[in-house]
Amino acid sequence: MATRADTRLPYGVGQAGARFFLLVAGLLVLVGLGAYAYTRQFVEGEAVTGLRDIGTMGGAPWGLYVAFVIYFVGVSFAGITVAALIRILNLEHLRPVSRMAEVLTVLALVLGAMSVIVDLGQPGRGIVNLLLYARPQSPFFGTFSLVISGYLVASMVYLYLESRKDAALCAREPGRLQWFHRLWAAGYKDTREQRERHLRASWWLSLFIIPLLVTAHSTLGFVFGLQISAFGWYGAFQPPEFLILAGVSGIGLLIVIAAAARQTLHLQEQIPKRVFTWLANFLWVLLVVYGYLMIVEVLTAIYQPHQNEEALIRTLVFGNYAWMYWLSVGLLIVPLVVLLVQSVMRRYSLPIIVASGVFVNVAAIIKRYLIVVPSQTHGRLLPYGPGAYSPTWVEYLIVLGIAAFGALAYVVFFKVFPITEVKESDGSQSLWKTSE
Amino acid sequence: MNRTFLFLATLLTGLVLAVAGLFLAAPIGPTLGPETSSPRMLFAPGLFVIGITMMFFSAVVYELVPDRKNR
Repeated sequence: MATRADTRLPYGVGQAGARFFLLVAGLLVLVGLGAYAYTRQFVEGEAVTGLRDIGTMGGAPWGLYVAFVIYFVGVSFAGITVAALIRILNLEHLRPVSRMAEVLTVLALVLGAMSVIVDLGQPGRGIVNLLLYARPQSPFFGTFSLVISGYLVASMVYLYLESRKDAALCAREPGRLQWFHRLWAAGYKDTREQRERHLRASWWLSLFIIPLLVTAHSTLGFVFGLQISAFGWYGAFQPPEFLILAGVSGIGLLIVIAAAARQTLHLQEQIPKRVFTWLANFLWVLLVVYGYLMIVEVLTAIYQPHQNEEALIRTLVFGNYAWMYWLSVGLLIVPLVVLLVQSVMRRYSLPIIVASGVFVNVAAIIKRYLIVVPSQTHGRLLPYGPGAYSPTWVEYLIVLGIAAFGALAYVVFFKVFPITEVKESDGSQSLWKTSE
Repeated sequence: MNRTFLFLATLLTGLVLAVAGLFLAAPIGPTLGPETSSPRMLFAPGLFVIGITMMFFSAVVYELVPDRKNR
């Protein structure tokens, strides 16, 4: 499929074999199923989902979709954090995963926005009304304006500017993608002045992005933490817990993606093992902090609980949600222990680090579900009995379709653009010699 | 117009729009009626979003617009 010129592009850019097309076909099927499910929901209304009103309908109006909004926005945390930290703290050894992380951030935020849209019965009305009437004191305002506009735009700008140099390199290779790389490079020639200007711009961007992302993730926590009538939600710990679990899931997913790219594209030299050891150590530190916050929150809740809060905790720990609760706790403790042991022994196993990345992401999805649902079905200060919520096939297919769309966009992007920074030693890159 | 001027113009326009959007939206404080829950100007939250977007976009202007001397 690839032309001779395309094969000179680095890291498999412009080259696609049978395995790639099989993967794309599989993901397209899942996206199609998700789109079909969404058309059913759009035509028939949210009656086809398991979402119901609290109280009289005994259900939960926020369910799987909202759980995945928080999960996807959480995943986005790692990408831009890693990219910004590389720039500000000069963590050069993490540079090989910088682009993967930036693209992960952008796509995760897009998936988060898609999850919000599918949760709205009337998405058009919701979006228009937010632009017309949103109130700054509402945490939704922060979530919407800072996460979707500020955070997404900042991440896209950062990704674009950071990648211009490689785009210019690729644009020197004739082929079908040359026009795309030329457009992306937008006249970049790697002159001393351009390099200095880029360093200044990206440093300032990094400096503004970090407080922005802390604020953005915190406002998402405030959406739950400020609801005084909901046990399990109301509390000062929600924003920091959201932030730390976002870091856990994002770093975990970045480890998995980097390992997959390393294996499939044979990037053992470009992505050395020490990248993974650094990420693994960062991950267990985040897990320790999250564990501490979880313990403090539970101890506070069980000290002198209101009867509804006690009922909620019983449901979580011993009742309907117990298997999910303990599974998520286990999936957080196991990676913490093994990564900590690896760090102490100074002997790192890549498969164990990758498995830890998978475990913490499964745990994060379950935790997000447990944050969203039980407080609505069991934690309300309303004179109704406990409710119930079970997602329907429509919700499962839509969420699967959204995730498949993200995976599809990710693999296709890295077939047209280098997945990691192009080094002078990577074959086709004796390209700057004529530029200055 | 040189690069610095365009960059500062984008950045400051974004800042002005963001601040204006914030102050023209519904006032911060207890909700006492429609006047305290409705925005002072329709689309003020949209202005805030456009302002924030422009502020970050100014980085692209800063990097992409060539200096007059280099044209």
